[in-house]
Amino acid sequence: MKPRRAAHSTVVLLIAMLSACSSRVEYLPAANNASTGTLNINTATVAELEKLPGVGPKTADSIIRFRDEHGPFRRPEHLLRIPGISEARFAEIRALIKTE
Amino acid sequence: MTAERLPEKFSTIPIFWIAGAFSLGIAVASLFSLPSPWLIAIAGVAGAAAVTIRTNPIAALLIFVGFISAGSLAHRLEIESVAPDRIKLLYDSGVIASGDPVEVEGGVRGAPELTPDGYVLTLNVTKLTSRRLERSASGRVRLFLNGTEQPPLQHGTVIRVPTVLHREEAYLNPGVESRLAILDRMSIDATGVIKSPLLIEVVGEQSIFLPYAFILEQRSRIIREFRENLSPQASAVMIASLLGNDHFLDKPTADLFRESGTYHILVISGLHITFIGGFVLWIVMMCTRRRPIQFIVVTSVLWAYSFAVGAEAPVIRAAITFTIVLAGMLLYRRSDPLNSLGLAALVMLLWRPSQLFDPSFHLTFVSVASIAAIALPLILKLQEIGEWSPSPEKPFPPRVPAWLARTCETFYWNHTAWAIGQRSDVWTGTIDKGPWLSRTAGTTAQFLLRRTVEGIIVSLIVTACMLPLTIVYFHRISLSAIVNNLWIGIVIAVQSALALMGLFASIVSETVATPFYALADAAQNAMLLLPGVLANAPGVSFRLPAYSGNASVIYPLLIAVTMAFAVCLREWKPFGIKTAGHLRRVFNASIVAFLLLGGIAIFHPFSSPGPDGRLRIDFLDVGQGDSAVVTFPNGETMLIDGGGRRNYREAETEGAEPFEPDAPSIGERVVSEFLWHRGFSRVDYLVATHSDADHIDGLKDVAGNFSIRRALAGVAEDTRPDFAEFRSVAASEAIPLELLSAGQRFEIGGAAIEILNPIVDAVTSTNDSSVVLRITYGKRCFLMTGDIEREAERSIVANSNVRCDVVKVPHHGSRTSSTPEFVEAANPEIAVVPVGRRSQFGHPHAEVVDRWLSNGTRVITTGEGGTVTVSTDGKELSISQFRK
Repeated sequence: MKPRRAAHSTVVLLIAMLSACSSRVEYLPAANNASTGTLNINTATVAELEKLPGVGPKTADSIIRFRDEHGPFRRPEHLLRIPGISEARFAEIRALIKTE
Repeated sequence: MTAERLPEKFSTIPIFWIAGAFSLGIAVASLFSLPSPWLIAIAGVAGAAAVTIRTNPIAALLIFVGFISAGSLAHRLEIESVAPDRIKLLYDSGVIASGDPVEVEGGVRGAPELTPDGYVLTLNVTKLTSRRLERSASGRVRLFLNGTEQPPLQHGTVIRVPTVLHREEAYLNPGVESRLAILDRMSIDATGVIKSPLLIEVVGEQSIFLPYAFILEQRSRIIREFRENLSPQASAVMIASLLGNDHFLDKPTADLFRESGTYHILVISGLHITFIGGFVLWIVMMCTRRRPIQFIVVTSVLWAYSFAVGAEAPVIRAAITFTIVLAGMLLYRRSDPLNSLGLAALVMLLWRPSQLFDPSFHLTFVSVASIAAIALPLILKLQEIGEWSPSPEKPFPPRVPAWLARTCETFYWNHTAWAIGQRSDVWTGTIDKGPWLSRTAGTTAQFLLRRTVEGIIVSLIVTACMLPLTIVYFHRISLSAIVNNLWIGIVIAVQSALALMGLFASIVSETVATPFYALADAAQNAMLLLPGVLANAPGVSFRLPAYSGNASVIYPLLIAVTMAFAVCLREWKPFGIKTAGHLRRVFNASIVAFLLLGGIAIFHPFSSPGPDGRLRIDFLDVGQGDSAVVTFPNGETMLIDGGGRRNYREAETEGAEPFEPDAPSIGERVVSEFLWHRGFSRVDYLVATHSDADHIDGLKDVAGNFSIRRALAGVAEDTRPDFAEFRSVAASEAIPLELLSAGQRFEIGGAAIEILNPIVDAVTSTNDSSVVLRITYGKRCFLMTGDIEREAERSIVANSNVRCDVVKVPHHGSRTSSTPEFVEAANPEIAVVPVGRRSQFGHPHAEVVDRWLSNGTRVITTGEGGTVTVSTDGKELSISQFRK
């Protein structure tokens, strides 16, 4: 094959390869909210929430208010959206709560 | 057939003029808003008419008109093309409130960007959920994720994450750029914080272009490599300069680059693209002589690089310009660089017309145009003059002054070439090129000298042409930039080469890479030697105000003068038969005009408002913090507090070397900008009411940027780091520091100032030791209270008269202050609360506001409407707010 033709076919092959690999194969599922706990934070009352370690009346009140304004928590992790709840506090209560 | 009369002269830079017409169209689009169909009609008719009467000179005019209306049309289309579900529309129209918790779903764009504290994610949003309602949305948001663990996200990952999005104005002061405008320029609709990685849900993966993802991954890998193997400063500079991530630069380093006028080297811009493109071209040219292959390889590498480093607008601009220039070169055409520049500008403005108003666009364009239109042609002409020997095209020596001819010959005369040429010539002769030339001609010394002088000429011309831009946008002049650019440019090129070689070597083994990295570190130390020395030289780099209002016409005038100079340079023909007389006159006139206008711009006479017999106080919007500018009737100025850090945080004192990120500080970006906007380069008095960061932090920047006559404070709390820093800054700027105490009185420009607090030797908290000033002018009186609380209020009310017309509410309207007794005793007409739109402490507290309101006082906060300005002539009181 003449050098020029070899060069041309290499370029064509390269372009074909590059355009072919344009889709991802893996599909990672949404993170699973394993319901290991017993307290459903979407239906709990202030009193029940206050029983959780590290949760006082003010925090319980914020949780209820947030729930009313923004709807039920889809996952336990969404408790972190409350301004008063830090990652450390959440780690303490993670095993005790569920959302459904 | 009768001969058609062709136009006598074709322009060599037609596209440059067309791009200019298009830009004009965009610029005037807001002034003359014609409906789109009209614009299309005008463009169409003008174009058709121009083609029909193509030999008539009026055709050129019609083409201009056509392109002007095309420009206006493009601008109009861009505004109308904003999709109705864009996030920025949702927030701007109030459908969703800024600061409300929301949930966003969208695809990650680019790899998460590493920063010292966490990661920055850019998301192309597809869905937005707010208050139980999910809606489809579009637009880009930038989210910050705390924590140093790398999130399992790549370009194309679709995630769903709860966050709080912010899109609102902040720091509303005249002279300070609107935050919404800044977001728009970055094409970001809103910003937010992701509180924890636990909140991120991976919902799926979009199909993406794998090679792009690969490049992004390599970039992240290289960033990590550099962080591990180079010194902190060297890695920060390399990562910023080569890879477009400026988060690792610390403030002292970044400020040193700014002062030396070389900050643009840290930002990926045309300079880098040109270097990289040129370097790749050089390598490719050694491998193949086939121009199409050269072009494809170089542009592929260049565009891959541009996308790898984030594809921000400045990088794309540079890549477009380089691609077009390269295409011109490789198509065997001698393209006038201005023509290529014009085409690049046209392409960019067609892509996004609003870029015309982007300061970054102006900076890039002016710097490249100054090189293409002035520096390069000048160097080429000097080369022609220096290399001249008699030839059929140029039989006569250049008609230039002897000193110029001799100088050019020193740099460019090649005696060896002359001698060789002589051997093949029919005639012989001697040529007199100066006595000291025969030794230096043709040697390496001449080559180095020539390159250095060329570099200085380019640097000088770029600095001169950029003068109006650096004054207006940065309020800074760095004369040392001329030399610093050359030095740092060379060293950073060497350092980049070493770092890249270390990178390649590390593929082989770590030990082989170590010496390269060590040398790169050494280069870093060398890099900042010269700027460090020059920075301390007086008068070399300084800050200055820009004229605003009508006087600001001086800056476009300066640009016009440089353009006139460029035109003269093009017309200058040293080997022509006769110089047009007017050319010399215009040339001299443009030089004189530039020096005159430049002098006015640099020394800015009469930039600050003259004494007008009024006392004026501007309460600035510095977010959480205080800052007020008092202008006295005789023109003197006093700055009471300077605001604080953007993220209210105590200065960290523990740790071996605290990393101070190069974040914009309020003292620099708000208070200083306001003062420059008012035309001041000098502040007579700097008052630090107390040593809380949100009052004293900004004063340090102001002390460095302005010449201060005297600094005043209350109690010297040297144990607090913020005050100690303030004191040391005052000392290093040679500003005398005085301590004030209750009972002192003085007079400035007819206004009487009485100090009511702190009381000498009283043992109180920091807040209660705030300096309290009572300023009286004629019948009007103003009370500036700092952060005093109950104790101080009580003693002040007991010991002095606090009755005033305007009171700055103490402690941002907190319930620790504004006791009923104080409110009653002060009984002002107006109470100003300096507090941000959203205070993390809940300031101003509702009960405090009620207390003032029930006293019959009008309460104004700076957060809502921006700067509050009160002024009086001693009798009447007038008040206005920036945005209301």
